Amino acid sequence: MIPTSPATFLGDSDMPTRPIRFWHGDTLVTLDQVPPTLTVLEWLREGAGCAAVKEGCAEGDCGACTVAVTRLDAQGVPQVRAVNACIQFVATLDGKVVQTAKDIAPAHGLHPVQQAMVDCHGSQCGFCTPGFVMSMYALYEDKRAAGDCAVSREEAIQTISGNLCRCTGYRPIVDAARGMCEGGWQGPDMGVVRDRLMQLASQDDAVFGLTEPVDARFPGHGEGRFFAPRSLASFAALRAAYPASRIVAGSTDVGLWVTKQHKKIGDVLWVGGVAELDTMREVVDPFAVACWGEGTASIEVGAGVSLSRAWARLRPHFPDCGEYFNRFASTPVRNAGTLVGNVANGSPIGDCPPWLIALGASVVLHNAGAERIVALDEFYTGYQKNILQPGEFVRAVRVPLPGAGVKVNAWKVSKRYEQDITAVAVVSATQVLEGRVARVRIGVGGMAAVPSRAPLTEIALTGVPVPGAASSASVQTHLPAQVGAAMQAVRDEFKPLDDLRASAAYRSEVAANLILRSWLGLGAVRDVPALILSDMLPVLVEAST
Amino acid sequence: MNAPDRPGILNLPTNAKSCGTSPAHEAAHLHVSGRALYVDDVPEPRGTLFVAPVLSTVAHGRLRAIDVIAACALPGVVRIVTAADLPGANVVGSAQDEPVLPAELVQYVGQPIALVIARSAKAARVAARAVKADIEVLPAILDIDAALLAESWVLPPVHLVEGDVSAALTTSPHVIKGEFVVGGQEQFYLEGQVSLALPGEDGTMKVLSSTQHPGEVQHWVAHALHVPSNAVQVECRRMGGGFGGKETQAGQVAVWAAVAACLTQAPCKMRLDRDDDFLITGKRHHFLGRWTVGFDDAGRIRGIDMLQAAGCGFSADLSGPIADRAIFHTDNAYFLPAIAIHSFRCKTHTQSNTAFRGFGGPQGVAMIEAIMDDIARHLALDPLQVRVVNLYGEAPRDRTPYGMTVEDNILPELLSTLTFESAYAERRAAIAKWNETSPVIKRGLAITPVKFGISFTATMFNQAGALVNLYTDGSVTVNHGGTEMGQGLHTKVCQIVADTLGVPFAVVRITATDTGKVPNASATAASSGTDLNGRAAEFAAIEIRDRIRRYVAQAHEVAFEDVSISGGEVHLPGVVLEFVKVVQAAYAARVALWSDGYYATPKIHYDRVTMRGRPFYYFAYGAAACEVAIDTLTGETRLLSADILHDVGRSINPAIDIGQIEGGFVQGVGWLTSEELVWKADGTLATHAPSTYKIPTAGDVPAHFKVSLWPEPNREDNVFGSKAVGEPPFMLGFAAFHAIRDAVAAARGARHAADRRVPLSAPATPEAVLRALKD
Repeated sequence: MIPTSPATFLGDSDMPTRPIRFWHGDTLVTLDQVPPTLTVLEWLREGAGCAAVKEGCAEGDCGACTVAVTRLDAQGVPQVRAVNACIQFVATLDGKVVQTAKDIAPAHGLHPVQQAMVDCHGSQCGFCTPGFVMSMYALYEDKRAAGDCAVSREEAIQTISGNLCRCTGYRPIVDAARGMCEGGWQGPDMGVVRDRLMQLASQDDAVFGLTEPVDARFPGHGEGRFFAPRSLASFAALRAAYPASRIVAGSTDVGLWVTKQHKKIGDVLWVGGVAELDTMREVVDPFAVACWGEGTASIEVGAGVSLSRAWARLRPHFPDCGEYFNRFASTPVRNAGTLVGNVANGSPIGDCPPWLIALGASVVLHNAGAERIVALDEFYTGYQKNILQPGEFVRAVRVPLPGAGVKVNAWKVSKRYEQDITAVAVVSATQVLEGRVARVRIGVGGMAAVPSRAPLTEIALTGVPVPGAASSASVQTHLPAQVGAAMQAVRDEFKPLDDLRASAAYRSEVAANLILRSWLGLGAVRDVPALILSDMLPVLVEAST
Repeated sequence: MNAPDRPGILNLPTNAKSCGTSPAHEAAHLHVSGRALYVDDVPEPRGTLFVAPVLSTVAHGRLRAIDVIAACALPGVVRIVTAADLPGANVVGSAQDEPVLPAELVQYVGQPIALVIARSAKAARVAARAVKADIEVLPAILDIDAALLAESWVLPPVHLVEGDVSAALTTSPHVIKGEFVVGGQEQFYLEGQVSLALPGEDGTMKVLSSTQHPGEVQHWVAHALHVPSNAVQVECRRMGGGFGGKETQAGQVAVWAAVAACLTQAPCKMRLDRDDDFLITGKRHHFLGRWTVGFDDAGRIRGIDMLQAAGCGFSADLSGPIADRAIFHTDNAYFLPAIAIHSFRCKTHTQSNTAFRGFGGPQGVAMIEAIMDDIARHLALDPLQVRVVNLYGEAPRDRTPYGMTVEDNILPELLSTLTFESAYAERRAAIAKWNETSPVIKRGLAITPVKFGISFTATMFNQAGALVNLYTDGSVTVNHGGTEMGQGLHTKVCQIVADTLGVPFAVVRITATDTGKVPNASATAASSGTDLNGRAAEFAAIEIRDRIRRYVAQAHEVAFEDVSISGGEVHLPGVVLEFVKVVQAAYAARVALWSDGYYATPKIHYDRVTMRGRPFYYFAYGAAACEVAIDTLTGETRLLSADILHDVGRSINPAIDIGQIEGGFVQGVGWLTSEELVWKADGTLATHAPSTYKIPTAGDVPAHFKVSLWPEPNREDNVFGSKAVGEPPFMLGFAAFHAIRDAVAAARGARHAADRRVPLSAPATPEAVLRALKD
């Protein structure tokens, strides 16, 4: 009864639709004719009468609305992820399970995560608490699946990196997270959830879209359709047929256009339903070879791959970029947002582009079945502008893996370590041969209207000898002239802006200092004590206690 | 224990079962399961309408016209309210100097100039953006320096002078001038401002408000609706955080909701979204301090002449008492033999700054702690040494600049205990060694003390009422004038009532704060919640308990003194009776099983004109030792460890008190490091949401974070021997700030031998730290 060929729904009038279906706790929900930008938070609070999720900011920055969304991975295993309900559109729940703090509590008791929060005095005003509980619940289920009841301090902090608490000072919450798995696994396991998800999947249709845009309950916000294609071919056909449609993946930025600017974004074309886009694979990549020599492989990251999954796959290849990955927003934002989305969005203060530019990454652009591949540093043409043609979209980003001979350092500077937006980012990928910089690529963020490569700085650094053992004690005073020249080059080639995050002067100075730091990082680590705070943290903490 | 010079100890209850233990917050099980109801969570009555504000886009201007035609035509819009529509007086604010909605003059970007009432919150917010205002732009004063130049004040300047300052300065061996600027701070309660107004019969109005001061909300709403106070009932079960931000400024939101409800005769809810909340409501006052200080070779202060300027915003709000408290806490923990403070309350065309944990105290402390650091750097002494020599001590070094004698000073002992327990000397040496060999990452260490005066400085506010009801099944409800914002007040009051009545904690239930139950209650503020309301509830419970005891004594023909109640049992010589049975018998014998209780703080008095008296019942003390590392290439900082020793007297609930200490400390560190408010040149606040305004996250909390409680009851007679804990720990954050200054000093090293002072104000953002490294 429902056509499965994408060609059949290219006409406006007879687009096949079906309701959105998902589980909210123990309730199977069927939603029809809802506005495409209705958020999960709005639906939960106003539609489902569920007050267990709170609105703290409506921009994915405070975590009071955190819910757990569970879906089956490619192997049919349930994956529980914490996301910000305030900037997720309800249609993206299709085929999934969404749970709030109320849904995980037994009728007359508490879930172990909740009990741990009570026992540790982890709530004061309590408004942020349900969000914390759900972030912790996602970790709890991950741990249960792994059969591992130990939670490290670092894991606990990363888990709640997207949750703000103004009362407690976090110590009791970290304690609760660290201890929550110690009492043996309790509460229903994922078996029930898996059965429900499989049942939904078995009923699934190849495609669906929503017509009938106007919903009387939200007058003025029902304009547009929600396209949720299930195949790359459908996605491409829809993109070609509706070039003005707004492509949405994690909606970690688009969501704010809706909640903050009350912007009408028209038709939504959703990435998340296309399994082919939710993949990563190793590819032969001529761009990578051109940058880093024969045999350099790349990982192609599809447009549907979340930042969390992308970082998990890439992290082992980039041992010096761990902090940079962790400083990208927060766990819930990384669970929803995608690496390709961050690239396609093209914000000058996005964190992926400088890193990818330094690596020599390329983007795979898809247009109605045809593809072209472009170096990322040629993708952007101006502030949030790029070379995409009508109907074209970024299907994937290719991330070169330059190997151990290339040192990749990534630095982000912001007012706060977690969940903050970059003031300045500098990423360098440097190949050293015979004690000198043989090749270097540098990407910068926050320095210009687009994420940029720093070609003049690269030239200045090329040929510079790496720091020797003697240099460490006198970093600031005895710099080789060529390093000073490279620092000056980065000051010269960018004219950053003054804004609320930093002044232009600060950005220039820090960019230069980070060039220095990149160079320092080329020496043997033991020669450069205390290069960066995070690296030294364990040592410093031990020294101070 | 019964030292006669420590009267508080004499009255300590000895049979406490709940007080002194740490039951979880009375609503913890509701918080964690999402079942705790905040104002926005209460199911809305049928036909509820939603209110959104229309904000001024001009900092200072003459309102010529408001065009609502396009907005009125939008779907869902019911009505748009402007100044001309108001049913009562168009004046509001604790100093009665703000309009409900401006009729003519707009005074800051973000000031609500009209209200849109619509059938959904979203429809109201969309329509609010479609309202067009025609505003003639007038010159605006946007910062403290401009206000000082223009002599633009919300209230007249205040001068406190104690001792012969000019003589002290001329005879001092060392005299230096200095300056410190400390930024404002957004309260960032997680639950934004919200009120639900429900019109009732006969012109009455019930308001559910997220407020620290239901009584004031009641008065403002009555005034705005032109009805007597008895026509307005205000209720608050809990707030999702307050921190002072809901002391007065919940009132405007409640008034706007009530005006809408009055005009439409429908329930009206107003919940500010986060950006509107930032743009409309006031924050902690930013302060500028400039001083001349004279001191001897040991760093002991002889005299200070100081200008203090507070950025108040467009109206007075609580700026008067806040700037006063800054004056009172400019001494922090130190004896200042001669001091002149010239306090200016600057009027700017910005949000009207308001209460925030510490209430001006932290800004006063900021100045003196900067002076301590400057003196130490100037003399090349360890800053801790300078702090110690300046501490209050024996007479005559025990008199504050406002004429109060510090009778309960424990700081010399407390500070030396912390210095020892935090291994200050060893760490000082280790850090010096580290800094010699580490070119990029520098470490710093600091210990700072806190002495904080407890009581409202306006003496009249130091009173409280409570109502305790004992039911015939033995269960108890308690109601008092204080509000719960997460600080655990209700939990502590339930503990006090349980112990006083001799019943288990579990049978005592708190009910929502309600102006219909306890009238004219003071704001829950000034850290005084438990001191005032706990004692009032204790007195109510004592009344009921003693009526039962009298009844039992009479019925069993024993002496009143021989009857006691504890653990749900009534004890008399040789007999134990079940409490519930006794209650039922007492009821049958027509004994009143409910009572009010009333408490007024003793001993305090203060003359606002002479600025002399005893404004505080007692002081709460504490100190923190913090170690940081800074990155000299970026200016980023890391707090590595915090050791805190804090004085809460005899703790009613140690877990709750530690929670207040840790939370206050982290909030203080946030204020002094990452929390930066930035205004654009046109007076628009650029940092108006968590994406741009950065409060601490879990990762900012040090891995080593140790809090210990000072083991001594309050020396004054206070409930259970406890001390107030809400605000004092906030100022422990200065230890982190001064550790950063210490690390900056180490990094600057010999390059700045001529002037070793660290030019670092607050907040110490990475940019500020990097600048301080160079300047």
